[in-house]
Amino acid sequence: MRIMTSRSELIEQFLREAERSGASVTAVIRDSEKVYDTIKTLIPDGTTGILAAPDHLDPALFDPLRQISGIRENPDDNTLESAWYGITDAFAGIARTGSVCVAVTDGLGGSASLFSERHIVLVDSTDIVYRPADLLQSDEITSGGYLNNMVMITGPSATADMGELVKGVHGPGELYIILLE
Amino acid sequence: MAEDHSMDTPEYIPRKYARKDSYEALGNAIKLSLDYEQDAVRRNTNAFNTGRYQATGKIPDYESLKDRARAIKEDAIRRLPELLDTLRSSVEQNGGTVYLARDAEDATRHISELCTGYNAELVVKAKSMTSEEIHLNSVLESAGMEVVETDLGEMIIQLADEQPSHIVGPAIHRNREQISTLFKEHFETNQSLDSGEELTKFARDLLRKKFIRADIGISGANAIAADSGTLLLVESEGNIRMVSQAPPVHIAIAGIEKIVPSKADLFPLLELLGPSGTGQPLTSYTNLITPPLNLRPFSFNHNPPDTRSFHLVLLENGRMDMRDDPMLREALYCIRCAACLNSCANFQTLGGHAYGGETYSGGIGAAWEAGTHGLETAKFGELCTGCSRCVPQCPVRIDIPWLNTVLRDRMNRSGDSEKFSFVYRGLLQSAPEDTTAPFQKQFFGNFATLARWGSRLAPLSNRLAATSPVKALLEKTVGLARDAELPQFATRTFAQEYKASRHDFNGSTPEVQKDAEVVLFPDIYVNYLHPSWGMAALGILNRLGIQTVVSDSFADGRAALSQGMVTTASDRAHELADGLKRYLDEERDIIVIEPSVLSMFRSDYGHLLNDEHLLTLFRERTFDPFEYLLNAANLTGRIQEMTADPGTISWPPRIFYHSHCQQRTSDAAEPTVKLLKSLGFEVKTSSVECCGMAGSFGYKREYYEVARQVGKDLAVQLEDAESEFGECLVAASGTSCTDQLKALTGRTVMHPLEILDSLLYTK
Repeated sequence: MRIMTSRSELIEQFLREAERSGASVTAVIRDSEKVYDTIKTLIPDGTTGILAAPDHLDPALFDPLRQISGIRENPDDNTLESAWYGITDAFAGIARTGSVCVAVTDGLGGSASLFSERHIVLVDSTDIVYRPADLLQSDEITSGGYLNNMVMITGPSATADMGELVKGVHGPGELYIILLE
Repeated sequence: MAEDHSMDTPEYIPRKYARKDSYEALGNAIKLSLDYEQDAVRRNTNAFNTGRYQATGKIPDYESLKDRARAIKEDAIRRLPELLDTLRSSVEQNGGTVYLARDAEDATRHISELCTGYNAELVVKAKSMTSEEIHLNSVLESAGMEVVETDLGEMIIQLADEQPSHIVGPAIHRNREQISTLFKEHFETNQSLDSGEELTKFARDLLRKKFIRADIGISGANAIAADSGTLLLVESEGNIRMVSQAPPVHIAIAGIEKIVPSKADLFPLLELLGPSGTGQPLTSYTNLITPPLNLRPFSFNHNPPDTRSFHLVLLENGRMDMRDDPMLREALYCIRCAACLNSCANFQTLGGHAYGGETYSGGIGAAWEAGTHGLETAKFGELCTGCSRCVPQCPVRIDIPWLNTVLRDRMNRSGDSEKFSFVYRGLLQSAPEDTTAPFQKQFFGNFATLARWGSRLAPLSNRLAATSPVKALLEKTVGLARDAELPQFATRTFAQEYKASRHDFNGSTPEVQKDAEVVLFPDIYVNYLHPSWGMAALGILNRLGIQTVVSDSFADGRAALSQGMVTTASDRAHELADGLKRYLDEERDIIVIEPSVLSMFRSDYGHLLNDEHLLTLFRERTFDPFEYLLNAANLTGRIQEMTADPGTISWPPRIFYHSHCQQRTSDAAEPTVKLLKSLGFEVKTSSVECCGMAGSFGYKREYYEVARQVGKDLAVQLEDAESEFGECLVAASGTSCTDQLKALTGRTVMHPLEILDSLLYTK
């Protein structure tokens, strides 16, 4: 069943569901300087982070981020594993579940979205679909091979196994979504 | 990690009761579960259960999505041999290997060889029920490897040396204090290990070191797409991502039933798994990976390779035989979401250490244990009472109660009760096929015969049954719990009462029978135990001017069905269909009071009668009394006009109402609530899945205590409702629910029919 919804409703729903899942979402104009300004506020001084080259978005959007001290684009294994934050793009967002879809390819997206304590992810509002199955409807997604190796991330990693709900287990305990408009 | 932990504490269930191949093991596990695990299990399963109702309620096309998932699994199992070939070529083309393991021994030997081939010292594992099924850890450990479970629930049970108590949350039987104690026993650390936060942080740091140094990661798979070799892996902790990304070698182990034809088929399954399982729209991480991955391998392990490798191990272990078995094939459709565990009242009280086998637990677990370990290990399937609450929850529409009924039937047939049969063959009416069933089952399965005699001899039979020598005798001979308050047989049956007073009911004289609008069917529970319910129904119909004909009473077969005596149940169903033939042929509407009988007609008869036309009539022409009055006859307004206010007979203006489990599954409970509200009551409904009595279940010696503990929630809800709102009238629609509520609370429990009847007569 395809649910017909307007783009603005989809975005509204994405924002609502992502927040509900425990992510923090900031809507930003699709401009590299604006992206830089927003991300800068999410990075405490003196921390090390990984900047994963985008699999889907325009790399130029990430350019100003390179000047941030502590950011690594070609980390060694120790840095990759111990970096405090990771910045990646997402090739899609899912409105009904508030998820972001990150490619797990030969780039750093798979690791930067997993090993760090804070994951900062950029998703374009035009890449938001209604439900997971709608990813199959996008030629760009299917022909780009994104669905072979990917993860739908819904909120921070969490567990209820220790007798109460705890955020932040093996994956990041914080998820910041930058929604590009 | 500390060295071995001896299981000398009596607090936890030793693995020796995991295998339920004897009733002794089942009984011991039940006792320990009730004593030590009940509270944690209850809290955790109820949280999952509430979450599931919320999450599935938000899926706009939930029902059609379930149909789609069912179709995918049916298609996949039908095409399994072909899909195995397709999957093998896909994985090999991707650069991986595929091994089809015949059984547990074959699988563990292969995986062990793979690991030693890589000179592996450290293996990290994600949660995999299939690896539990083959006892993989002990094999790898005896080959000298360190095996670390990385799902926190699995880590807990690895430390405690227990089997999983739930197929999704393996350690739901432990509360935080118990986990904290366990960690303190095992780890020497200055860190505080008290809060969930602290325990998680400690485990995270410890496991992180293991992930990045591990030589091999072993995961399961929620589903595998044959056309691409893509694995679906859902999780929330991130340990599956770690296991599949950090070590250079990834081994995935999965049952062959996890294969689906295409990647597109993974989507309906993943859209259902999170909501049905943990109640999340999606779990934190829904992974689609097609290994070997392209990520650069880490250099931390002792023997870092340049490239990544992937090995898929597919396990047969009885699954091809399950596929050939029309009943066990159903279990192969299971996507292991655990909705049937979380929605089961008995499971909510016991958990999977009692209500489970060596690996698999809950309602679906018995079929899995029967298929992978043998029918004799599935004895815990006795704990399925057929309450049917799991049926609407299953994302692939497996009729789990029916599956358990068939397993019970098979166990009955492999029984040896024939030697006792001369004693009761004349008294009971078991079909010849069912005479090997244990005496207890035949006793309860022929409830109609019992009730006929009990009622004929009442009140003497009731008084006699209440004496302690008779109670002791009944417990010894038929396994009737001596502490149970037995149902009271009516001195005069409904049929006798009706006959004596039929002149009061103008609608039911023979002359007007052919014009009657509706047939009232007196089921055996109304006839022998609660004639007043039937008389109330008749009185209401009469007052409302609905011409009614009363049919004869027949046993419906429910009692036999719940004992797994399928042939006997089918005999009863055919006799009943013959008895009601004239009404069915005339396509009359039939009112059925006992919800378990209504649900027999609407759903279980599908397994017992072969006539499609007849089944359609049973489905479409049978009604719960209030379903008939409110929906079919549209009489809400008239009822409101004709009834007195509850205050006129000094009733409180509030009702605590418990609908019957099968009534809810048949969507027949809502009209009663609507009616009670329209009478001017404020209605507080129970939210338990089942009262716990479940027909004969709670009267059995072995399960009496389980039923009482299950019922606790219901009693607490009544207490809470009254302390919040004030005194309530207590009402229930089912025979055994009424008995359970009376026994647990000592209160008078009314049938909604009696309430309406009184208010109609008061005005």
